[in-house]
Amino acid sequence: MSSYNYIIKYIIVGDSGVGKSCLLIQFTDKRFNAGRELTIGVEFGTRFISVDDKQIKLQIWDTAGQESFRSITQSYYRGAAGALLVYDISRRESFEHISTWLADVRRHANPHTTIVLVGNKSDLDESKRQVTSEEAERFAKENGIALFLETSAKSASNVEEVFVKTAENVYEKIKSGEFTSNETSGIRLGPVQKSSLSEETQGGACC
Amino acid sequence: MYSSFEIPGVLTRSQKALVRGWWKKVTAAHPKAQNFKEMKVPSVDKGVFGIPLAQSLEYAHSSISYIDDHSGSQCYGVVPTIVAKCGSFLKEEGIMVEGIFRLPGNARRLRILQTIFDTPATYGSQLDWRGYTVHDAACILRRFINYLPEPVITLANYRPFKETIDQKFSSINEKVDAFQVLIEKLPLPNQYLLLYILDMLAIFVTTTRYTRMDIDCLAAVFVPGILSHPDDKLNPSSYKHSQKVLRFLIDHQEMFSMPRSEAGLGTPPSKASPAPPTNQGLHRAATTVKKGLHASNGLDQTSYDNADHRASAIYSLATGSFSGTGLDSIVPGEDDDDGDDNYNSNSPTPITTTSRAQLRRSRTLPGNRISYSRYEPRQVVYVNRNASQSGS
Repeated sequence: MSSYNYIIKYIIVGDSGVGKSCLLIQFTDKRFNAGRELTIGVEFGTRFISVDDKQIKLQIWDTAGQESFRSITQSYYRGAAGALLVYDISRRESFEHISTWLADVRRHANPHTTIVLVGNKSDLDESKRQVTSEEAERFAKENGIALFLETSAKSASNVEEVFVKTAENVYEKIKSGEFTSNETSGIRLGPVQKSSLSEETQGGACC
Repeated sequence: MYSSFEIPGVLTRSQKALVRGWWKKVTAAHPKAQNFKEMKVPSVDKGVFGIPLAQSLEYAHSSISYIDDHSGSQCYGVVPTIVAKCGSFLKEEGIMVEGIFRLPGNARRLRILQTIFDTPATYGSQLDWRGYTVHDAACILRRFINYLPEPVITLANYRPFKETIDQKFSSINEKVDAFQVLIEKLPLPNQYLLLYILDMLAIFVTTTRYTRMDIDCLAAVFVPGILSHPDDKLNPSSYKHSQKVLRFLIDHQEMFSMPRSEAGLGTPPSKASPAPPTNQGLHRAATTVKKGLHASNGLDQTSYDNADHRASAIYSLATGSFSGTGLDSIVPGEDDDDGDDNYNSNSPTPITTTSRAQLRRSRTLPGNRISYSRYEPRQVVYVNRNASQSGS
């Protein structure tokens, strides 16, 4: 499919082992593989979705959670229109570290980036839960995070929603003019949009 | 699968008091340490994080000892205190823990650990691991390595290591020999550190089914600190290439030699170590190794037939209190010795045949502990390299 209106860039960040790569693979390939290898640096996935009748190509950068890869991953924050901050609901520490990840994203991404809090592994037994959804919800509100969802990359629960709702939020910002399409905002125009809008957006669009 | 240390964030009242007391002392001695929140550089003048290896080793090291295969004599080397300290704890408590080396430690406790290991005069050698998790230890160890100004395989040797992995050799032995030559080009402290880490990782490879950390994962985790280069910093494929190298090194670690005895640094620990092990400790450790050799003879013999000239055994003596239930609590078939601190110096920790068979590398299982009472708490750490060979 080459006829799309926008390319939107996402990044997925969070502690290692919270399921970032699994979320991406569930979203792009609709499969779950628990024994997946460790992400080195960054990996990349794409999928087309439609929002408000517009075709959107999501370009998703899945980053390594390892501290030692921080320098390489941070270089990908720049120009992300959406940022998924992922923690593991069964590991309290991964939630406590979210504030660090949030600060990182705010420092390296751009001010309009749609930030979404994702509590993964919701399929686990309630007895393993170490972070309540109320607490995470509150954290999201207090920190100006647009959206909070609990997901399961394993059962696919809410995975689609997380990526799509993020795109909707970004798209709202595009419509309201908060985002302009250029390299640093993480939004680029697709070929369709480009030809129809080429008069007004000179040079803003990118290959 | 969590060890008894896995109670996140829970400290008893007395432990909290200890931490507070310690923290008061630290901040009094080093006012700068008070604003340690964004601590990425050493908070003290003579720290270890971010300091060249050779430099920090001067004041913060643990001795390792091994038998030189050529001369048969006992040699001594050094690894940073933090490495010996974390390494022994991890080998004792972490080898069955899912996600070990992958899952991050607690950020707050990591800051405390970093300060402890950065602080003279003991540099954490007396650290009691109670209240910390194995993930804390794994993480602070990796951070130490990652913060070294140069990777363990120094920048000048980066390309040769990467090129060698792609070269065609007629046999594995030749390839190993080629890497051996490269390893010997590293500064001596780096050789010790590299071989220590390889040995440790090889142990963890044997328990992949519990940890779900296979050799590729383990290699990936250590690539940035061991084999990376600023030129390739932003290039994921170069990390993957380095991962291949590290994988090979871990896979064949028993075939690499420790530095020869004439290589220098042959100072017995009693001279150089800030907290020298007693004679009893040395004697004890030596006995332990012999026992290990004997026990593993025949188990791994066949696989190492070609490596009879290789190094035999290294073990390190590090001081510091240790308080774990160790493997005895997780390996089935172990004697029920629940007393954390009551190991009797005269009766070795029983390691049963069951656990040996299960773990294959029996010789790297936790060693006999010396009595903790009366004198300084002490632990014996030993890492054997290709132990089956030196028995021959």
